[in-house]
Amino acid sequence: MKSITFLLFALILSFSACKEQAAEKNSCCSTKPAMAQKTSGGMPETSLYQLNQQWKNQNGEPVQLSDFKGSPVVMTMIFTHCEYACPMMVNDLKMVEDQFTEKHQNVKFVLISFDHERDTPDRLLEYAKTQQLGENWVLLHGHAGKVKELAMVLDISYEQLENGAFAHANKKFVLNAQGELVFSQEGLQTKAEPVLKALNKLL
Amino acid sequence: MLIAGENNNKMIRYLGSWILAGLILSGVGLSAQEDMSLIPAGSYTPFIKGITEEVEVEGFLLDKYAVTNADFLEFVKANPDWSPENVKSLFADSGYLTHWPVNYLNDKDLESNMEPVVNVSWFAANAYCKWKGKRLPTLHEWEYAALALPKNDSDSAALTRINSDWYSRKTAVHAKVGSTYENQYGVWDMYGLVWEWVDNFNTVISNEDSRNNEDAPQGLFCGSASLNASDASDYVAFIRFAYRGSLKANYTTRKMGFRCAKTIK
Amino acid sequence: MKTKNFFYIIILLLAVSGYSCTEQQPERTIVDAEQEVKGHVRAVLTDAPQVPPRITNKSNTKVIVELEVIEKQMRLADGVEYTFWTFGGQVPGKFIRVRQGDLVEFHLHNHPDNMLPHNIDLHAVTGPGGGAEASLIAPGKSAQFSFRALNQGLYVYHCATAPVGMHIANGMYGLILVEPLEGLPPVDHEFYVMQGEFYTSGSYGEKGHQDFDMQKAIDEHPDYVVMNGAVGASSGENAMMVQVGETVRLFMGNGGPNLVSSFHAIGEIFDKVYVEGGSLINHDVQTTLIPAGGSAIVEFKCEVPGTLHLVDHSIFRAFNKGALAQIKVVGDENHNVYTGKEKEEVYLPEGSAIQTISQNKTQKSTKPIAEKSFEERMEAGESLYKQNCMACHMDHGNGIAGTFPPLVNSDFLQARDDKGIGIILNGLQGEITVKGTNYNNIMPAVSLSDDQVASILTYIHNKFENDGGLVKAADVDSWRKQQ
Repeated sequence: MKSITFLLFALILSFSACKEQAAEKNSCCSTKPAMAQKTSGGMPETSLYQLNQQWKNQNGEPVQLSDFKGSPVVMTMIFTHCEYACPMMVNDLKMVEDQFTEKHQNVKFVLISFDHERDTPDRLLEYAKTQQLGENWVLLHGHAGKVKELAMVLDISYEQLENGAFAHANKKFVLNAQGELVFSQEGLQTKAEPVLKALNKLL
Repeated sequence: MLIAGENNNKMIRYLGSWILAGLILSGVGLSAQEDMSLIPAGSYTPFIKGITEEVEVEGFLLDKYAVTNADFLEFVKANPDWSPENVKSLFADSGYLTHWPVNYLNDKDLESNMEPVVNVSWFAANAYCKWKGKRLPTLHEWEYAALALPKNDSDSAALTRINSDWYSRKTAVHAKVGSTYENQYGVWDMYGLVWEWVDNFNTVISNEDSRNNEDAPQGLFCGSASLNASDASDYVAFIRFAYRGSLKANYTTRKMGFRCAKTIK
Repeated sequence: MKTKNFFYIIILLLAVSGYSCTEQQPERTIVDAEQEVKGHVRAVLTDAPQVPPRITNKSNTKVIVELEVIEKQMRLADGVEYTFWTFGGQVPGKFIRVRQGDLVEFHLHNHPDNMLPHNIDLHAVTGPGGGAEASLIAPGKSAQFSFRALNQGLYVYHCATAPVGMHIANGMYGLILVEPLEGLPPVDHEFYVMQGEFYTSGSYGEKGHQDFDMQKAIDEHPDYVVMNGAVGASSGENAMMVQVGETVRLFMGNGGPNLVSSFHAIGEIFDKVYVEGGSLINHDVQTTLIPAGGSAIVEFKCEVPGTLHLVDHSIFRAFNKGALAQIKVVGDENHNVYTGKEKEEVYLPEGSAIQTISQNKTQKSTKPIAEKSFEERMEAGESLYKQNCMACHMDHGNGIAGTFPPLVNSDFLQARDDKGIGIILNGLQGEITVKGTNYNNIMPAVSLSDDQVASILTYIHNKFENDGGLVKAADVDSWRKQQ
């Protein structure tokens, strides 16, 4: 059952994400066509890097999302006290990394935490160590409002539960060098190939 | 000092809400009292069953009226980033404020337009509330406040009637705020005027563990809906949740507006 | 040995039955989903009762379907308006026709003026929710998904947005035909008819705009059961038209949301039924069940002229809730198939006597009644005439030539001494001649009081250009006494 549901989600996602731009351009009712092609501040309007937010990485350094401009990014949202889904998602991403070659050296993995209270930069650093995440992995901490805005942009449903944990959708994304969302995948224990394929198109 | 965190302070839930609220209100300032109503703390059974049957809602302030075109024009004038020309498609789709005239900046009618603003995205609504020193109500807050019956009609079926009337006719879009009904908290038009954004419209809601997140909330759209709903016959709530489920944060629609809330401090 | 023989017989029987099955039923075609499709076409969509043209493509292609959801107020019955939620502006939704193995690229648009989010679940889709999850869209949005039409058949599609029942009850259903690879055999006419029921705040026929009634829907008590979205949508002047000798294929669907249809054509036998819209073919069927959310394809040849009534044979739905569509067949009679009425005559079982309408004889009161004035008699007479006489002699009193004699300017009536009192009290049988025409029929005695008989006769003598005058209750009384 579970695997079916995963499949279902992956399907929904692949349709909604991959086809969305096309659908909006063809919309019967669009009164302002060609909006998606507009750029602003040297970036496409649909770029995630339009989010003008300050975050802190696992070393406590200030980071803006637009700092990742210039190379492809694999992005997901997690929290470190998560016992089940998040470790699996991180593992899924490691499987992707395992198949990296020379040309992938500039690809960054960006994990953003849902948990602004407990996932301090220190805690994130500790997590990166226990998970044996390399230099190209960036873990971000930010206030609840930023987390929510980012989740809205990524269309990730989540909710904090009474015990402090988060219920959340399990989604992984590939952003191009301009910060535009070009691929998404939903579910756990997903295959690495589609992510690699999406990345290779960008390289 | 009395109300600390957003999450853990249970005091408010167990103290006499009205008395407490009265104390707190004195600290909020008069302006808030004029255009906002106090929604006293309490609990309700959400439409979608979660871990607990009842959800407790802390006392909060809620705008008496949905934000109007006139209100939103002020906001756009003060925040050019949110003008129809400048807004980024990441934050609002192509329908954003398309009902406004091209020269909206000099439009006298728009300046005094008391119809609810529509064609606004979640991001725009969120930014407006922030600008006002407020925030969007949470889903639980909105649903809880909307449960209050009309002031002049204590029939328990009144709300269902208002809703089903609204769904089953092609509404005149040009109704002003304050034109439907006032509820017992003094809040107007919760149903029957426009759909309203809530802070966490895309919340997962119904699970205790991230393992189960795949069962929500898409279940709302097929057979499983009848299993998750707390009251299968409450079809007006079904419609509301289905509506929210069809949205993304940069979407704008011709019948969706918003109002703001404020935490009592 | 004996057991062995028995065994062989069983084998033989099995083989025979297997053989006959394969002969009657075409083999199912399984399509290869990996097969490449060539080119693309934009699907032709039609409103009921029209059906898109037959597919002539010889190879699989990509079919692009564009369907718009529109919420709009329309006629449900005369004087009755309803806010329908539609796929394409009408109920039922647009008919979609593709070929087995086609790749269907589906675009669903939700009109920006709509109140609600919508989606589509096509029963022809192999995939989660029949496309429902992939197509959920807010007003002013479009969604796209693609599916391979793996199975042939006639499939229902419907909206599956919560509350699903309400979306369907408001008219969100239609049909998609996946034609078999070899195509359906040619016929002269193809029509699209879909049944669905409506649950309105007012009862059947109540004028004005009607709201949806959720409680009636839950109780499964519809006020309207209609063919093609409204009472009379495909009957009367909107009936489908064919010629004698032509063949007809009906694509018949049932949107529900609750009722199962006992689909029947009054005056026709279905030569062929694709049971439940699938590949099983049944022959010579009178009534075929169509489940809610299901379909059937029926075929027949129209041999004789007349009107075929397509009904749900749960018959109160047809006569009292609107479940009726019509096919008018025009052309020459064929008396080898059907003659029409050849003869009609009096049937009198042996020993029977003239029956009175009511056996109650208590009216033989001799108690004098205050006589009514002429005006009072005319007024009372008119309503009594309508209750007792009009069914045969008609409102205008002209009767029906050759069957029921006329009362207008009736020489037969005027020639009688009793002014007609005896006819009403005793009835009449046997041959009579009225205004030069012979009649041989039976009029039963009518059981009425003296006063009532007097009023009816006064009315008849004055209203229908007879000799006028006033008939009194006392006249009737004295006539009775003479008998």
